[in-house]
Amino acid sequence: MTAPAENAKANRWRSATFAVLLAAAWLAGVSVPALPVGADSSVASVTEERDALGALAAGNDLVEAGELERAIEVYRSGWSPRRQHPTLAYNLGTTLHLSDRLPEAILWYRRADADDPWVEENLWLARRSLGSRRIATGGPWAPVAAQAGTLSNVGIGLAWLALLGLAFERRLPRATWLALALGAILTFGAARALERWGPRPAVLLATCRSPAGDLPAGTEVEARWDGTWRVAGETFECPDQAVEPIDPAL
Amino acid sequence: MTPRAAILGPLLALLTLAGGSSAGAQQVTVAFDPSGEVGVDEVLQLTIRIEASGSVRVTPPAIELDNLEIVGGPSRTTSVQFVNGRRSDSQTFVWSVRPRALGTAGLSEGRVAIGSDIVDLPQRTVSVVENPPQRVPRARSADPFDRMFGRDPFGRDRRRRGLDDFFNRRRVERREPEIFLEASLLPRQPWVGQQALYTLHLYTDVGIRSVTPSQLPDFKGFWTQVLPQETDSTPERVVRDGREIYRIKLLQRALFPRRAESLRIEPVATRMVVARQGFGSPFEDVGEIERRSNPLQIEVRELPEPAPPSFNGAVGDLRLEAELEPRQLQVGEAATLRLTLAGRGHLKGLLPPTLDVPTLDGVPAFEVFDPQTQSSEEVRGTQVVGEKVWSYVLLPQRPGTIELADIEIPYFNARTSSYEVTSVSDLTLDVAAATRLERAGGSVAELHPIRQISGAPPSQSWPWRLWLFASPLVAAACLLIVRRTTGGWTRTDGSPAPRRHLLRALDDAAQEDRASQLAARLEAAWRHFLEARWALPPGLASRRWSEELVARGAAADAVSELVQLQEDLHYLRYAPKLSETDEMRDEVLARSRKLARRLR
Repeated sequence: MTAPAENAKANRWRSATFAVLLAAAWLAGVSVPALPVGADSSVASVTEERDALGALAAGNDLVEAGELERAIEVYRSGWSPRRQHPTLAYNLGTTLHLSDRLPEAILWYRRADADDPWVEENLWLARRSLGSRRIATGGPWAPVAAQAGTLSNVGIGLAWLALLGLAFERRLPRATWLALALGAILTFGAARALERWGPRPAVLLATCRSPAGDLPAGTEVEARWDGTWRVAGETFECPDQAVEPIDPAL
Repeated sequence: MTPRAAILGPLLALLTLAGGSSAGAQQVTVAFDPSGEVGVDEVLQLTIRIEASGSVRVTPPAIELDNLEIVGGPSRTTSVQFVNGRRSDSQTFVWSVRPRALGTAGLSEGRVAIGSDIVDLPQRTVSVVENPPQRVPRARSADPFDRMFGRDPFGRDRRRRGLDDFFNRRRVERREPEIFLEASLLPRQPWVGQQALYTLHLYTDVGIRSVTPSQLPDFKGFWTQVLPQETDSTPERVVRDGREIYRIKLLQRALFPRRAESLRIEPVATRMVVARQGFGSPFEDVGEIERRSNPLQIEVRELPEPAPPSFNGAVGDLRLEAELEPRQLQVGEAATLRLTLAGRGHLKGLLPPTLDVPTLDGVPAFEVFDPQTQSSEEVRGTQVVGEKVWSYVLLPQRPGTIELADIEIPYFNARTSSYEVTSVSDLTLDVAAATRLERAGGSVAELHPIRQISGAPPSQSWPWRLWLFASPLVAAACLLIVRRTTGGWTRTDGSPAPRRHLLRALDDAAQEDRASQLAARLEAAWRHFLEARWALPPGLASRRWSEELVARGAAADAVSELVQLQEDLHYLRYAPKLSETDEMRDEVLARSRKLARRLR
């Protein structure tokens, strides 16, 4: 074997080994913090799914038996913010509705599948029963926050473009590649930041008061977290437990 | 006909004219005269009076008497009245009856046909006792000559009286009858809104055939209520100025002053047809006279201050009751709160109480609409008793237990001259969430039940997005690190990466002592690099490097520097050995290494 061939082989091995180590480290960095202690991702997912289905079955039995309060507890125990089971959310909302706990029912209907016509009708009934209103104003960042999903998609696209440019276009200027990568990171990061700290859809579970008037429980708002919940676009200060975001996993 | 009966008939007509009939389509009254306790040998009059709107045919009543025997009658009197264009007929049937034995006697059963209706007569009884109360001497027991002096104005049996008159007419003396009207008001200083009783009495000592009002007061400043004639209204004999005289209640009105002021009630003027015995004639002398009552001056008192905050002018003795139905309902359904204020007093003008709407979760618990109001009044004795009903529709806005605040209505009690409060409490609504509501288009939305276990997958939003985003970036980072570590990608033919090869060639060339050899090796290394990295054709003249490299995307300044380096290498290769070549040797090596990074 010639020297250049030996060098090439050694390079390949070194590159492959390095890439595998990096990938492993990255997988660990992304996945592990989100998992329960002592569990790996696949086990956690299966467990959550099994818990959700078990809670759904047990809760349904309790509803059939008329034990609504216990059914609510069981449904809650099976719900995970990271794996949101729409049927579980719908059943929980319906059970809360039957228990006259309409603000919570609205929250769980909103967490259920929005395209489900049963969810739509029950949500309409709950809103009408409560005379609740929806405050769409989310402050100055609301229009941007509304496009957070699009922003994150753009970030993903830029990241893949950067990778492709790096891999297949040798003559791609370094500045261009850096701009792509930086753009991807900034765009995706902005989307996450908006969803995390920007206005988020939420339901009030208790009354928020202000000198100008009160926002009653059951009001659907755009709320923002800055150490305490604030109903964006309004001057209301709400107790922490009064605001429940539709998607708590953000 | 007895004196009472002789006066009663015309007076009924007067009362009807004066106040307007308050009767319904038909009204039947039954009365004994005297009533209460009577003696065994006492002759009573049983009067059955039928009043009906319009022209109605009335057949004589069929009656069954208990412990009574009929000694006369029935006599029948028909009266036709036209009030405000409406015809009202009344027919009076009078029997003379006498008790048979001690105990209870009376009308046990009876019926009368009024048009096509058969009406049952109410039962009436009297107690037959040994010692009945002393009465004004009745015609039959009176001195038969009294009437000659005008002391018995109501006569007795007409036939016998005619004979008596005929034989005794020379002994009859004519005298002016004593007839006058007296109006009174109690109390004379009523509070604003308090009922005052206006009564017009006729005093007479002769028989009155008819009484026709020619002027009635308008009672300006009062809300008025006509008090119907009492069913047992009969002349009563009173002593006035030392003389016995008959007194008949002609008219009664309940008056409610509207505001505090001095008011005057104008006198009543009437024309009366008076019957008395003519001198030397066996027949009655009938004449018409006019009489006016006295006017009344009234001072209406203002209600005392301060009044309760929510006082709305109610005066009387009142009681508030509430009905709330249904008490258990769903959002979207309505409950009706029915408040009934009743008691002595005139309530028609009262405003409805304002309901305090409680809040539930910071919002009004229900929507309340303006109440529907119903008013009614009736007369009990001489007292107007009113009833005011307010019906509120409550539309709950939220589910939960809604406790209505106590509802209070303050009123002024004229009897105690103080403000009092009547209230209702314990009004609670249990409102459940709606499970069925009608949509705007008319369709009905019903609460759907829970779902059974379905295969709907759980949704996950962020993890896959994070993966999609991070994967290319991590891969690119790995790629960069590998490139930096290895000096570039290994070529597909297995040869070392061009830059790495160039660097190695530069290192090898640095070992060369001779400047010309060094320059030659460097030039060759660069040509190899440009061929491998930038795909320049082998043997391409160096003067064309610039053009080709720029065309392939190389940085122009780096290319320019490379061209300069190539010229210096050429100089070094063919220049005579000078002392400065050693310096150039090190310089071109350094410049080559730097350029290798820029043109990689």
